[in-house]
Amino acid sequence: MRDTVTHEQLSQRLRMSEQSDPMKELQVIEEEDPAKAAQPEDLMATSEVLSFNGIATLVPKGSVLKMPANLKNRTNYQAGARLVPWNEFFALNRGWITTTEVTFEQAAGREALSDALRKQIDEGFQVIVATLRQGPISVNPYTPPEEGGTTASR
Amino acid sequence: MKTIARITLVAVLAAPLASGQNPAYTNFIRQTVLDTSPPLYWDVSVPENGERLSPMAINLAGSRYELWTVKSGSAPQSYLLDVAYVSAYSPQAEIAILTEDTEHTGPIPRTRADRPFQVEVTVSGLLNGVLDPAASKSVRLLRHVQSYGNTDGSDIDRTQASLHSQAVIDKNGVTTLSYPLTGIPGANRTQVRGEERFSVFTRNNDGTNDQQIVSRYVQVWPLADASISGITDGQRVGFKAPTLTVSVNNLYPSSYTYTQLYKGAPALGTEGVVIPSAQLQIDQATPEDRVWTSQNYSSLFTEDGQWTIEVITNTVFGSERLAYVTFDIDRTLEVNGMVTTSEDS
Repeated sequence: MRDTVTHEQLSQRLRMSEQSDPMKELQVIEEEDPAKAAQPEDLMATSEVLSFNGIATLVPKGSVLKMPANLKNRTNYQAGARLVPWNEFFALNRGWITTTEVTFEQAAGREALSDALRKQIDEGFQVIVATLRQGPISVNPYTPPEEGGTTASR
Repeated sequence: MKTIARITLVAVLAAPLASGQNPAYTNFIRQTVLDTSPPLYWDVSVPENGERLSPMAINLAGSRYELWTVKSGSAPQSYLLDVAYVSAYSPQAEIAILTEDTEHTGPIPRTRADRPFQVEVTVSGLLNGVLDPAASKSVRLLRHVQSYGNTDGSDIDRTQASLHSQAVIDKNGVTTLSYPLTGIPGANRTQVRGEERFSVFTRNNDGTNDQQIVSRYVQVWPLADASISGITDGQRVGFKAPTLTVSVNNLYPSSYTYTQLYKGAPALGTEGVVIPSAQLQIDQATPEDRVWTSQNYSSLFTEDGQWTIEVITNTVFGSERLAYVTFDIDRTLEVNGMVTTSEDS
């Protein structure tokens, strides 16, 4: 049992602590704080919302390859909707969402999407989400190699 | 160069606001692939507590793995819980923060403003060849401090943390840093509340575009304090003890705090009788304030004389007296009268 320590006691201990800062035993540097520059963009800013029937999920922006006009209202978060992981949301909404597996090279825009997939995007009536190993992934526009021109298209 | 790295993704809720039992929060792990333009975003589904291997190849520029939790509500609110960076050349690092609060089983270690803590930084994969890239030869270790102000820290903006110090680690192995107490800013050192964050970043030649390899933080809570009112030092108390008010502030998240009384002058370590209406046991994420009012405790005074009431808090750090008051119980009945006789005539 002891009495609780006082501000004065702690101030003195802090002064001593700062003098023997263990960081000083390493090679101390004074460079720009990388923690401020390396902060990731907010998740909501890099996501698209899919929402229906009181539940919602997030997928990376650019992963929704097709959004039929009649389903556009399902990209708005409905106030009070319960967010769930993608796989849970997809399992409950297979009636209007389908997925298509893409390769990393396709997602990176270094390889064009297949003709079959382009046809599905053009003619399908469901929302199409690009996935890699079942995880939603953004798809960059295809950029042909230099000699093939500079036009970007999916 | 492209290597296949097996990255274990572990989703552990890393903030008190994101209780694993709270269905309002949902976790997302997002991998940002940095060597494409624009960067690719890929989501990995993991359970609340679980892991899976990342099957994606690790490229030269690397990937950033972000653990987010998002709160449902009128509008989704996202919170970044953790970030890790992996590339083909980047060293690996792990940080463990050890405190005296070993009974705490939550994912974030915690301690109190007057207690020591230790940081163990383990770095591996550093290279030292002449032709090895600069980013593979050393890492930066950073210490950030950030006050929560009067809040519980749940809405803290970590970009506002102050960089306390930084150093270079250029050898593989474990670096141990021991701190006698926190350096979180605060005018009253007993009331400091906030967090200390230790991070390992890559270190490029030009000091730009350094990426976080690992980051861990420890929460620091203030010391509890108490005040007793209703009875003052030296007061003489009669048959009916006055209403006693005990105010306690910043009770440590896991603690038992009680008010006791005993006969005699104040003496540390004396075991007294607990006033039932003025005690609290808690085991939660953040400190607690309470005000206890006691009226019917006169029967606890078994005899007249000098008595002491004190407030004690028991934590993993030990037992401490927060406040006390000493007074006199005097219930002697003094009868002032006169005896007379009368005779019938």
